[in-house]
Amino acid sequence: MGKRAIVVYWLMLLLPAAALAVWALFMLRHEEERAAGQVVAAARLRADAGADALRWQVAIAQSELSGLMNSAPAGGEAAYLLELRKRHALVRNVFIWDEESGLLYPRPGECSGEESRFIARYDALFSGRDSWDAGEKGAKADTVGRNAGGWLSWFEENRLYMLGWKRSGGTVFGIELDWPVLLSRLVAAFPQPGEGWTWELVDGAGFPMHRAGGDGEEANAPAADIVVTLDPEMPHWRLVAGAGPGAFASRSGGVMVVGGLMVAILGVSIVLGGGLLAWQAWLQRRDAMRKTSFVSNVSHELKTPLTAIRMYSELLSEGRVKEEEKRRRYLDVISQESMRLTRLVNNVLDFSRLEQGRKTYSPENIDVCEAAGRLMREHEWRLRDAGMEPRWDVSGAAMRVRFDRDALEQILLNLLDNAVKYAAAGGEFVLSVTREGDSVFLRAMDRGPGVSRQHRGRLFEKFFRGDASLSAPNAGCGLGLSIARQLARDLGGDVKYEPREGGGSCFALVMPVATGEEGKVTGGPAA
Amino acid sequence: MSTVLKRVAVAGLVLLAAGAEAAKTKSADSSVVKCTVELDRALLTAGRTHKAVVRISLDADQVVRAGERAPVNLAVVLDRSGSMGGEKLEKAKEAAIEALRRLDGRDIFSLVVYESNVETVVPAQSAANTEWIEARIRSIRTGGSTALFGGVSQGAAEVRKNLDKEYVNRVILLSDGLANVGPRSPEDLGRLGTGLMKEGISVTTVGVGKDYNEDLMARLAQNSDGNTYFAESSRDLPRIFKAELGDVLSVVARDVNLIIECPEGVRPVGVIGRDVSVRGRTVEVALNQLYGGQKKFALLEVEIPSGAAGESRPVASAMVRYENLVNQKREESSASVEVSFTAVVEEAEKSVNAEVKKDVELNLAARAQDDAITLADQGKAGEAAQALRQAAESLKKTAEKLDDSELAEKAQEAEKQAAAIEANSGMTREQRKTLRADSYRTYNQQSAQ
Repeated sequence: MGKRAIVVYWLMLLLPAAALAVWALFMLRHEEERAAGQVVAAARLRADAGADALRWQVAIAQSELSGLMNSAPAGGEAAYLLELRKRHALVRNVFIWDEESGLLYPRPGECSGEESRFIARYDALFSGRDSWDAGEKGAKADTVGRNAGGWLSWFEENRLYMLGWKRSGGTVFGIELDWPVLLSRLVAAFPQPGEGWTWELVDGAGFPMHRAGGDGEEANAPAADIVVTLDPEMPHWRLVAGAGPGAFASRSGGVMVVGGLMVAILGVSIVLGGGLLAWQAWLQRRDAMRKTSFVSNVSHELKTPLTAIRMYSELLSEGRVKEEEKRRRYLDVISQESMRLTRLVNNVLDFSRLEQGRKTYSPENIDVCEAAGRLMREHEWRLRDAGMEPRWDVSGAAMRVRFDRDALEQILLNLLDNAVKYAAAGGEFVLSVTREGDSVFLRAMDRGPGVSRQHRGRLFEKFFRGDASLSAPNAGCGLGLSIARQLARDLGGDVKYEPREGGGSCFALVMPVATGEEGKVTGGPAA
Repeated sequence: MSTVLKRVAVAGLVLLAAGAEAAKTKSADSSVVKCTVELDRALLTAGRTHKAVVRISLDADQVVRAGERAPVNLAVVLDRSGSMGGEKLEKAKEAAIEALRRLDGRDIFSLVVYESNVETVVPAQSAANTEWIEARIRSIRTGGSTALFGGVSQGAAEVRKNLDKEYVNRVILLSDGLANVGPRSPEDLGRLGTGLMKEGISVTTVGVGKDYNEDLMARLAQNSDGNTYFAESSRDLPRIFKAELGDVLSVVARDVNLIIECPEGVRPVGVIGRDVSVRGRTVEVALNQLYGGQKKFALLEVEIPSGAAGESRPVASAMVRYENLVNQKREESSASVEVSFTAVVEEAEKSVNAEVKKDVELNLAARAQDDAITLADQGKAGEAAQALRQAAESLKKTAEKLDDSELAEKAQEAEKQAAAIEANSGMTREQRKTLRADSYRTYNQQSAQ
């Protein structure tokens, strides 16, 4: 499975997921609009109700004054009306008008300033130019005829006035409602808009007369989302409802947030799942490649000693080698190569045991110097054959650790093999043992080329080789260091790489001190 | 030295003459409000019609004990629009708390704030809840625009909750700006004032700084029989509130109705400084309340037909009806005045009532100030200054005649104002406010700011 295939599979997963998410968001928006529509519809109903309440208050005030006019005593209207004007806050002016003689009260010339303005205001009516029953100025007459009455809404200089009148025979008397006073009462009992909405009472000239709701911070008029006219009681006046930022928060905002969150969670989990699958596929592909490389490497490794063994044993069996000296040397080679073969097979076996977790240990208290010294003596010749000078930098004092003897031997052999394989040109191999705290450090140092910085991180990975090609100058299967670290860690220690001062590498095997000896000697290398 | 003595002697003579004629006025009972009626001179020259001024005074008793005062139903309406930010609002809050502390458990307190919206911060409740109310007042912050009409309406609505009980009902409005939400013309606010007056609610207006509409504030106060104040700086607010509370806490009578009637032949023309309707020979003046120790008067202009020398003729009778807030009884008081005719011109001239003359002169000067404001508004700075100079001239003349230092001061002040108008070729906003508040106080006999 190539990298491209993985990307394609991932995209196949990702694209439908993205499409799904977009569709879900679209549907959410649709839902939001629907909810907003509901909010607006509810607000419209509420504004209608608010406008009705305002109209009702005006109508009630007018009918109260009409009632008072109706109970005016016949003949004593003037005194009655004047007393009403004195006592009733909603009565601004009163008048008595006769069809023939015109205004009986107030009389032009003997009236206050307010009254003369009143006369001027309704001059069309008082001079007889307009009929009392005329509907053109917003008249709302109850009945037409000799006993009619009603209310007129009057505009002068863009200002609203209301005049109630009642006809009794040839005379018409009536009351001018004090609109600012009534407005003051409307404003004090103004219906409240819903949360997030601002209501504004706007007069005929478009000027705001009262504002309710909203946070009060914005000085500007609300955008005219909903406009309800207040005809016929307040002609040209309007109730304007505007949605503030909080108007839609309560209902649709929640849907959007929860929906968006769910879509986001879905999208993220799909992308993460796809990523995880792709990563797994990549890991499997890498492992498969490593195994193939491992098999070919191991085959190669096995073949080399086998070829040597076969060649020398054939030479010997043909009996063509006469000199005793030569025969012995050939036999030595066969023996060395078979030992090498044994080590190789041991490593592969250990690897498979470690991989399956079936490796068993028998940790015991060992004297490192003794064990390492013996191993060095046995393999000294190999180092010397490779042109290296082994040095033994160990103090006389016994350095006892808790470790598995076979594991220690195998770790040391792997380190030694690596030195022979890669660092022979350096001509030096030093083994040192020191105690630091409750650990004993066994260091194998050489003057080889060292490990490049880029490879240090992966040095202990299984199957890793600095040069993985079959044609590499040094054959190997990339298991030695991996097995060494695995064994050391299983036994409570570790194997670390430390660059050596002055060139070369240093591999340190860390082991716990033997039981009962912890804390006895603290720090400092043993001289 | 000798001139001073002479002046004193002249003044003494005038007073004597006035005293002698004053004996002709009849005063009625000994109730809490006393009504007196005086003419600006006791003798008229015979043989021609005269224009004269009748002063109808209402003298309210000082309340004897503090415990006897009437309970107060007070609503404070504060402007918290953006322009009130900083020290202004802090001082206003301080002043409101000051007002609250002068009330006690018998009184009712409420507080309304407004910007573009109106909010009741303290609904009408007993002023004994001082701590809670104070905390609420201190939490007030500034907002956006100015809904003055709505604020006053809401304040009135709070007062209205306890309208049927025996309270002195008062709304104190504090504003520093022009209304930009709601009705905003002096006329509309004046109508609101008239309506509230009929319900027995007075609105006292306090303008701060130089941006508010003084016409609107004065009209609202005038029509509802409240006081009006002009605070150049917010530092004056606590003092103003103290003065206002002093007035409110000393109210002795309310629902005051003054009916003046002239006998056949005498024609009432109008009341100086008040827009009242004259019905036949009857004039009515309504007041919301009278403060203890206050002397309130109306100046009625009348036309008196000619009479023969030695003849006496009644000019006006007045009757005041009111509710005594100390004993909660309706009381009334009445008085009337007559005038005599003489053939000797000097005698007639000597009979001038100095006090009445002075009040007339001050009120005419106030009227001249209002005229000057109107003229200056029309861009006629020269004519405005001219109107003030004429008033100053008239004041000076009367001051000399009566040897009155207050009138002389007033004359100087009017000349100074006229000079200022000429210098600035118009009226500054501060000047306009000062003049408007001053003429209002004169018409209304409001105790000095």
